Amino acid sequence: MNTFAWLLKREYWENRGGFFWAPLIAAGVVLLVVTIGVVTGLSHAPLDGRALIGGVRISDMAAALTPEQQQQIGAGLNVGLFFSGAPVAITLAIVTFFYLLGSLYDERRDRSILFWKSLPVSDLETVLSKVVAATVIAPLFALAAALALMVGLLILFSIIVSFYGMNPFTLVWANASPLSVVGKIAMLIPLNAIWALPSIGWLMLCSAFARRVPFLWATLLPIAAGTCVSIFDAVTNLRIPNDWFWQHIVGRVLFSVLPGSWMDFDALERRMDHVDGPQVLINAIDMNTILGPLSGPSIWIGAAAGIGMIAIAIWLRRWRDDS
Amino acid sequence: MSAVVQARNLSKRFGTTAALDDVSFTIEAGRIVGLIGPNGAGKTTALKAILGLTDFQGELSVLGMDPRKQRHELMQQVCFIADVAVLPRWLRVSEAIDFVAGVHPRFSREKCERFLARTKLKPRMRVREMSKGMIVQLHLALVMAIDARLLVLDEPTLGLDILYRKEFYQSLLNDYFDEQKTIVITTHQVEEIEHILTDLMFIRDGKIVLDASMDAIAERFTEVMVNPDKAAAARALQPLGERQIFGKSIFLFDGNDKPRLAELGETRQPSIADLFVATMKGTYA
Repeated sequence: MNTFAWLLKREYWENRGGFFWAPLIAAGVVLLVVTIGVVTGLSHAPLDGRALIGGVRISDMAAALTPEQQQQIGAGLNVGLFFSGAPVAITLAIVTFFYLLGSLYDERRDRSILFWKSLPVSDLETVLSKVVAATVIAPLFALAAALALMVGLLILFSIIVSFYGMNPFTLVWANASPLSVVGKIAMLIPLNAIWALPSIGWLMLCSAFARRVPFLWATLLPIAAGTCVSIFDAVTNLRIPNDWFWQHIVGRVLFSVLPGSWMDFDALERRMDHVDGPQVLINAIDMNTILGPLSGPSIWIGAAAGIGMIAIAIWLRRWRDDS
Repeated sequence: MSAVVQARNLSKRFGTTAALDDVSFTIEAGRIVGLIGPNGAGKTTALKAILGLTDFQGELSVLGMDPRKQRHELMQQVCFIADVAVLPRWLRVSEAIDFVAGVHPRFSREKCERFLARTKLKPRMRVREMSKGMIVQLHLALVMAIDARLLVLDEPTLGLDILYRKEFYQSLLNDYFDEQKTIVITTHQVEEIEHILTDLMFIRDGKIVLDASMDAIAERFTEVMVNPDKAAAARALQPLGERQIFGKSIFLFDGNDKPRLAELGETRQPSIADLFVATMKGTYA
């Protein structure tokens, strides 16, 4: 194993709680809430498990589904699975945010930086290992937690289905495809990473720079700048694009670590104007979704700014002398 | 033997105070050098400059490299313990060994485990569960298992009890040091390291005020215990320091003729601590 792999392992050891446990706990909470809902629901259902809709047993309906309808059920399940991962994604974003804020600050605070610096590991490698931990390692653990959640939800769903006398294997497992949903989310990891670079750069820069309270530096500075621009905008006729500043500067340096925050909802809506059915939504996550945001200049300008800030953070870690 | 550290006109200022003021010195290979000075005299700054942790003016070559530009290569050959408690609190003993073994080409896992076998440390233990003494034992085991040419220790035994301190220097001397290696130590507990040092450097207000081998120091400095009737004669010889004990005066002389001093009273070899106090007189005044 080379030095870089050891550095990644080191990040994992230090942040096992955030990288491994936090998304797993988030997934567990979702599963628990759904389970409670299901148990409550089923306890009010007819005990013999025979439910009628318009006088027809739903198990008979299920047995009479055409392949096309089966496919739609699968698509519906997949969309449900896709969005069930949202709490895990939000947890990942929070963990990543605070991981980055502490990444170059905590080691200075407890002076352990002097131990790391006593080893033949360059500052470039160290800082980059933290970037990779935030953009690859943490998302992969969250993805594994999301997959576990999806399988758990499908098992729950199978229980409901069998409660109503339907066959969970033909209805649920043959139609849903959690692996392909996870595959689609995995495809988004590189895009999330490029999109997150301004936040990563800003948070690491604050982490490397702040003598105390990097959180306040990281949040108050952009918010104060945004407020200044807004006030300036209100009292003068110089039309500095006020909303633009909040959205493209403040928002980008603070919230870009949220997976999928690059999503252009207007464009997504336009693509779905003339179609219906749940499969469209899941199909919308394809190469076009990924290449769409990458085609504009703004993501690349942001990425360049992020890389610049990471470079300053590397320089600060090399020369900062306060521990 | 070539010089391990060669410093020429080293300067570093923090605002108006000079932490290092045009300092020049040389450290030869195979020496154990004590860098001794009062608080704020510039010891740590000097060590940080050697380790490439801080910028400075002047010329500095460590193992033939510039610590500012070639820090990464330098750290393959140089190791340091900065202070107690710099090991991160979440680290386990096994993780520390794995990591250092993974990134350091000159680390011997087998050696490190042999050192640790003598302690109460267990592989699953985290640093946060250890006492100060145990943390230093772990750190020392990691560092001694690295075949480094220069080892820098900045107050390595700060806050440890006497048992740990004795053990620390004992293992350093018995299990680590040889002619290929060089050790630079700073500490305030001078009396505990004076028997292991080969060289001594006193630093005061950013300047080196004494730089000599222990043998040369034994030659140069003499302490004389003088009865009150001869005290005036002793004072006339311009002693470096004077203190009273049991009605007698003890004078410390630098470079005076030994037979002549013997006429004044009983002569002996001064301790480093007494030499230090006499040299640093008035530092905090």
